[in-house]
Amino acid sequence: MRFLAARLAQLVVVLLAVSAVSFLLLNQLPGNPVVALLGPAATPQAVAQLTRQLGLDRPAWLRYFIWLGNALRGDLGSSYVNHQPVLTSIGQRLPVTLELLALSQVIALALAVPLGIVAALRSGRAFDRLASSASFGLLAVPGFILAELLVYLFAVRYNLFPATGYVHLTEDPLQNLRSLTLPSITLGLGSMAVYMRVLRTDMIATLRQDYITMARSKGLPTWWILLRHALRPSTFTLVTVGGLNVGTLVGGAFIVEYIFQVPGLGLLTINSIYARDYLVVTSTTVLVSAGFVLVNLLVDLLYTFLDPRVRSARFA
Amino acid sequence: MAAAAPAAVTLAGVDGDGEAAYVGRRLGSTFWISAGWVALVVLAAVLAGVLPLQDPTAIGNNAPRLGPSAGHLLGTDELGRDLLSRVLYGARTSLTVGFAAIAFGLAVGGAIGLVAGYYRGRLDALFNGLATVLLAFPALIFLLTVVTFLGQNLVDVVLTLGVLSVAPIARIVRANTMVYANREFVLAARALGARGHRILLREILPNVLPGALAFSLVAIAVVIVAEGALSFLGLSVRPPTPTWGGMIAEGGQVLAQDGLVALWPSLAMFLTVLALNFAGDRLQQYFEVREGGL
Repeated sequence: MRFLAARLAQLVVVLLAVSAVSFLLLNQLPGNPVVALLGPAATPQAVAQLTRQLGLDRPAWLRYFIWLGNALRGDLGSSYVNHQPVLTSIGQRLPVTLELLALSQVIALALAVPLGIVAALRSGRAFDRLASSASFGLLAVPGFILAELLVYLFAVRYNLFPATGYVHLTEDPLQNLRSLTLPSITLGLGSMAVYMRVLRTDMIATLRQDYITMARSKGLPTWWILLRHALRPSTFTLVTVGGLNVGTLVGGAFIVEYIFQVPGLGLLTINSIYARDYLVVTSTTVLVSAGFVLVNLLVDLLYTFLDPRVRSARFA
Repeated sequence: MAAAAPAAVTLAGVDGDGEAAYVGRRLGSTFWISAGWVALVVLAAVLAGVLPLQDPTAIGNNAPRLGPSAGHLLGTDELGRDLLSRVLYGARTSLTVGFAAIAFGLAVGGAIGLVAGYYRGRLDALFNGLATVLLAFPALIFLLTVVTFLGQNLVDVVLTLGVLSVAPIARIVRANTMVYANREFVLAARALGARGHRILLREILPNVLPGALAFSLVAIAVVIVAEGALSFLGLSVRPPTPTWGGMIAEGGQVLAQDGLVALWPSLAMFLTVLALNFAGDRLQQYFEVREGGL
């Protein structure tokens, strides 16, 4: 319980720091939303008027505290560009990004778990060498290259999946899945390579344990031993890496959303950066950081569930 | 980056793990092939100006989208620019950014890691707090924001990526410093009356440096990919300066007509990143095994 309280306190501190840094950083940088809105040809009077209208004439630290005060009451402000409340835009975009992330992780795990298990079982043999080399190679393929390769193969060469054009889940679930197929594969394959390598390593260590030999000598079938005895205690590092991977994953998701024009949080953020829409960028930054810290808190809690025995033994 | 994990297992798995057999005193032929490829790319980038190449930015000298031929080994792009020349000049941007950013990260992060790991105490606590915030801060948003606002030139891209690499490098150096801080030879130096900075520079640094340099190779690969993503989004060094990421984006526009335009820079980036990852990974294992054998 004390552990949980300490971690939640840490979350609050991290979020305050991240919001302050991103807000003040954005305000320190040259260029501002007024110029972005009115264009370079605007008269100084118009600029001054809009600056006052948007409250941008006040010092940055004061605006930060005003924003923070409102944010704590659930009001993240409105976009300078289209005056839509930030909370509304995030509410529309977040489910899209979450769906993309979830699909990509389903793909990653569906491939990584069986491949990792079989590679560990046959460690050092042809299948393992092939799978391990392939995953190492995959780690060296940047997301944007993978995206282009997939577009070339599945959209240009064989017209199986659309390269762009997102269909909303509520409009047509099947078309929605089709439009997210290439983005999720792009994102998922990157995670897959990491997960497979980590799971394989842990699994090899687990398979050397005495209780596995015991289970074998009892005559239990191999698949039963692998799934019931060996898999759970071997997911320790996988879960840790999965948690730490969230940062990379969200970064990847942003680029993938941009490439495939998926209207998620990433596209919103990138477009808001171009438009100098401070409040939107600060809010999404804080949201992503909160997600990162929360997922890693969850990972810490998962350890005890995965293997209460290993916690002290493994790092002894 | 998680790829570096298996080292501990290979130590335990001497019996028939396959990997264990050649992790040892020898680096293996794949390492030398990787190192050779990196050396080749570095050489090509340095010598791009003297090699008999066409101007990578001159438009209209050749017909657009020529296939590979004797005159143009890799063909030409949409604007008739020689692709081989563009790939080699593009290596300049990628390598400059990769090496310079990590040199910055290594200098600053290494110093912070050494001091925090050796002196511990309040300084270390401060570093840990900062690192927690920095690592929770979404790197990509930071990168996009700063580069968009500061303007797109080589120095800003290098510095931004360099700043981002400080926290991860400092963490690794700090962890390794802590391993050595209580070893006998450090205690002996302290007992002989050596000052803190002398112990850090003469006793600890030489032991920590090899591992940090090996990690840096992998970090350079990460930075090259990050710069690639930036230039893919049109936010790195401005065109017409050729960059791999920018070329891949241009090639993406004409995928349907000619996939080769995107293929060459993609292949160059993939092989370079792969070679850096492999060489860095192997070196990390190599140095770790040596420590284990002490």
